[in-house]
Amino acid sequence: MSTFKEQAEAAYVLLRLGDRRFALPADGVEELASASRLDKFPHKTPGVDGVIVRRKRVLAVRDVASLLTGRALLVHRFYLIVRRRYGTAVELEAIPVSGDCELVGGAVPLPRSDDAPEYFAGSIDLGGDKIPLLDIEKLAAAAVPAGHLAGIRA
Amino acid sequence: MNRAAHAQAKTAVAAKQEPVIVFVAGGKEMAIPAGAVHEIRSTDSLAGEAAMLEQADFPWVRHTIERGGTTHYVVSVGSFFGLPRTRPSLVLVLRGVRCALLIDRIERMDALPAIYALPRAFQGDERRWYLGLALFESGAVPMLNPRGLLTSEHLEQLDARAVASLSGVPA
Repeated sequence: MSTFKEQAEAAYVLLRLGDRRFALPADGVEELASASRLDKFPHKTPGVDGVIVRRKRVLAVRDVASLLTGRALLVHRFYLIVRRRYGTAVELEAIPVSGDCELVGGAVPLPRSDDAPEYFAGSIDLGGDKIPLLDIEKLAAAAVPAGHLAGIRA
Repeated sequence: MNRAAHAQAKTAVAAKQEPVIVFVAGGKEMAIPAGAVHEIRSTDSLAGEAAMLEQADFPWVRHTIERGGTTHYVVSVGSFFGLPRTRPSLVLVLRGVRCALLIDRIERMDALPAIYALPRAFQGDERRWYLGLALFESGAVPMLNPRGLLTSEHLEQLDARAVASLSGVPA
């Protein structure tokens, strides 16, 4: 599977969660990986499902679908591997997505409306469709419903 | 991408082979450094030594055992983590801490070249509970921190409840 960085001119990655589409800045995306075994263990971090092992790295798997669409993905075909910043460190994290992702370039970003959640950085216009543009850092920090705590002792 | 930064994400500690005990609690595989375990006992063989601890604040601690003149609190690992109820059959008495672990069974002994750091995405109590993650062919397994389940504050509170339990006075 090719990495997104090979196509430096690309500006955004479109991802699908259920029947909805979202966009991420391409420079924050490492690659698209086929679904692999999710290892779960007890923890208390909201929004994190478990880990996958990819190229001898342990990557946290973050459920963003629950927050963005109101329900976790029951089935996913791929993980979108994104870069997260923790101070000066960068770590890769995996986001389950419903299907293929798409690179788009040349789209004009539109500002965030005042009533939109902070984890939307704005939107991009694709042929008249406004696709919400995600701020992955704010999305990760956003609270998720308590029911989505990993089923572990609160 | 910034390879130096990513190197941190790949953090693996301990170059030498670390002997570990892989066990099952609440139906879930976990591991603990073998050096952290002082004694492995069946629940049957401990029956005469364990004392009931009547307290409600730490429902995962129901028994104590005495070792070297100190009270060790027996933590039901499955109950601690809110895992499905099972029938534990073994107790791991830990070395250097006043804690013993009630577990279902030992799965195997293994040796690991590395323990992988818990990804930074995990920001809850699990950072205290686990030393990191052990990678086996069967998948990633959390490596329990022997000092992680009962903090010094927990121990102080349990000590108070143990005294109260003995004297019949609520703590």
